[in-house]
Amino acid sequence: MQKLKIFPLLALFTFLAACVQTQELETLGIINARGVDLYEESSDELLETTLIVFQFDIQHSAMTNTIIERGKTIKGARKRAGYHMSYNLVPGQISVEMFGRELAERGLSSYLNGLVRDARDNETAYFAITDSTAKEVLTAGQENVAINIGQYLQNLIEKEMNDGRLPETSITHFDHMHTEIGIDPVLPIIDLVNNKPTLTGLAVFQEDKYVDRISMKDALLVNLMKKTLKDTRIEITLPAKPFAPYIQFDPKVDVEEISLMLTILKGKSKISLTDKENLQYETDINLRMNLNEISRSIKINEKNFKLLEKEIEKSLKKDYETLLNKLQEINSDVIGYGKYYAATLREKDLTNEEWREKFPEISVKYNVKVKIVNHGTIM
Amino acid sequence: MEINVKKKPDLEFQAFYVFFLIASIQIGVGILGVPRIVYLEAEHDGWISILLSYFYIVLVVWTMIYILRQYKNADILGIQVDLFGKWIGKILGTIYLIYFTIGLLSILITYIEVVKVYIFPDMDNYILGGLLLILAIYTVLGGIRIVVGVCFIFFFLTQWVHLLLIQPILNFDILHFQPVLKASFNEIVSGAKSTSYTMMGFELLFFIYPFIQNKQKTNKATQTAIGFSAAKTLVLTVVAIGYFNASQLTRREWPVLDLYKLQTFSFVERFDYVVVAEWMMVVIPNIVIFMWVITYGAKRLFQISQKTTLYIVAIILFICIILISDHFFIHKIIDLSSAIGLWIVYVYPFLLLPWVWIKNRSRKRKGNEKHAKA
Repeated sequence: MQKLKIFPLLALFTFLAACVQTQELETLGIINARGVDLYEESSDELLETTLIVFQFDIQHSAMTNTIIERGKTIKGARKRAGYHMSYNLVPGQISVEMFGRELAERGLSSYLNGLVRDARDNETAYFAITDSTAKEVLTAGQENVAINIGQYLQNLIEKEMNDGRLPETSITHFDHMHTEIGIDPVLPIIDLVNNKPTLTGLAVFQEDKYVDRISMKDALLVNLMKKTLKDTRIEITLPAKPFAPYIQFDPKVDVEEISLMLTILKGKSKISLTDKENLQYETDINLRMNLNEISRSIKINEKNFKLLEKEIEKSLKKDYETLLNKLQEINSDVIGYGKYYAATLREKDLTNEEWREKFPEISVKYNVKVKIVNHGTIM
Repeated sequence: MEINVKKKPDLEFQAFYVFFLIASIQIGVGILGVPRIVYLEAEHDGWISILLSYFYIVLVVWTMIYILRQYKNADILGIQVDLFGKWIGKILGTIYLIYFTIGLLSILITYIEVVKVYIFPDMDNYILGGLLLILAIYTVLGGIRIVVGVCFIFFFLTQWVHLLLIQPILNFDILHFQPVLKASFNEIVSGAKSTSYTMMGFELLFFIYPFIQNKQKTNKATQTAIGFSAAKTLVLTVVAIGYFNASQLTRREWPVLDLYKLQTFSFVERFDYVVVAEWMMVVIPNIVIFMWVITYGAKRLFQISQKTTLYIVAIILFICIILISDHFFIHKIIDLSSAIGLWIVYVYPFLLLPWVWIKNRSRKRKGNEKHAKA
């Protein structure tokens, strides 16, 4: 009797099993990386997407395919890409999305909303910009890199991000930054150098529009403003003059510069708005570092060490001031000073236009404090 | 109809379990969207709104327990009949049941919509609806004690989900909360009002009270439960406001699920899939409790056997689930449910209070007269 009761329920489950769409791994083309460019040869706005598709197959161990297709929307292009393939293309595993610069200059938000809207798209994918076209970088990269280009780019970005040299760059993060009032997003730029995809700089945006690029060193400085750095290497070049008496074993005394390789053990920053009316900020930066390498051998003692720290502080302060000047010139607040201003406004909300007017006028006092903890095994 | 429910010792449970019943029923699908709804009203001061609504609920629960304590072993259906007479009392009781049915329907269709958006876009409504209803029927057939057991177990099975909020908490931005108290008092109050759908469910106490064994501990258990739910809502809202910026938060339908989407581990990249599936364990206690209350209420009011109501309500719900899949219509039902609930859950107990006082006084006077005559 009990069995009879259970039977209809079991029967129901057998029917139910077929109701939901199944996706077997062998029948899927898993998109690993996607490049989107503006297609120039047509008059209306056509997008050209380059898909790097990974497929598991019974006969072959793993196959990577490159498909280039055009469409008016990113998903439309994906649909058309399906015409070239005998299997279903799925976007859930995209690890890198790459956009060409021309497209980025027009603004990325309209392409982004499709990625955020569809709950099944992967929002944690990395975002990158290229100075040439994404198509070139991905296709040339696929030929010249031993592993799958999607994986290669993912590892490259992930490694640099974990080491602290690159600010966070996922799709969610970009979406977050370009919609937030008082801060502008940044994205890594990946170009072909000797036909290999290489990280060459940081793209600076005004909201969702690409405006300019800054160097990888500046990328580190920006990142230090955004989060606490740990175990990050930094190269600093100092004028040689103050160290002239201490340089050892070197016949050429007239060197102009000394370069240092340092590891930031812990780097912290704190931004505060000191004068709301005149938009005066103060930024405290505290760094604990290890000395790894010096381009000229310097005799190290307590006095020199203090001098070294002072010079590093001066140099970093100068770097930050130049960076800020440049950012103010292109009017892009990637560090986020506007957020601190917005947080003090009680009567009304800050708008982007307002901040664009105000940002070039802000002045920031950088207080850099450097402490070198360790200098290795030699004096 | 008896005003007091006859005690059946084998159906009773400890006040301790009231915590799990109330906490389970309060946390449902509403919490998935609450950060956005509060933010729309009170902006970044939404957390104050939630605190405010918590304090209000504390008062409501006190009133409810005060009313219940005036009787020996009664539920709201009996109390209404006692206060307003047979006809009005039964009509008011029926309104309660209709409200529960709409609430139940809104939970089912919202959850099905979430599953469709996140996991299976081309799944038919009746599959998941059917499965959930079969589970609900199966549980309710076991009676109140099984319902309590389900809530107890599923409560513990769903708490680990919150550990997955680490990623958004690490990216928390305190500047999103400044300046504090930017919203006006009115905005904060309307923010508190907008949490009503999420916080609803403690009206259940009006129905389960007769089944509680050690009634003197009811207050403690219920207050802990509403405190727990409010804390959970508060944490999720604070994390969502701290993580998302204004334009993101106002555009996202279910910010809480999007928070889970950020979390990735090397073994599972997309935790939102896991959380959506896991959320079924949050939804099932809701469905089961509502279903049980409906069947029990119909039995109390109209002496219809619980099985009959169970099957009829299940069939009605099943038909509704098949018919409703339009997003905006789903929202209309949620709005309807929260509009009715706002009055029944949040205002009605206070209206009931003076009647209970009047009734008490006249009863005492009658008692005195009887004494005088004797």
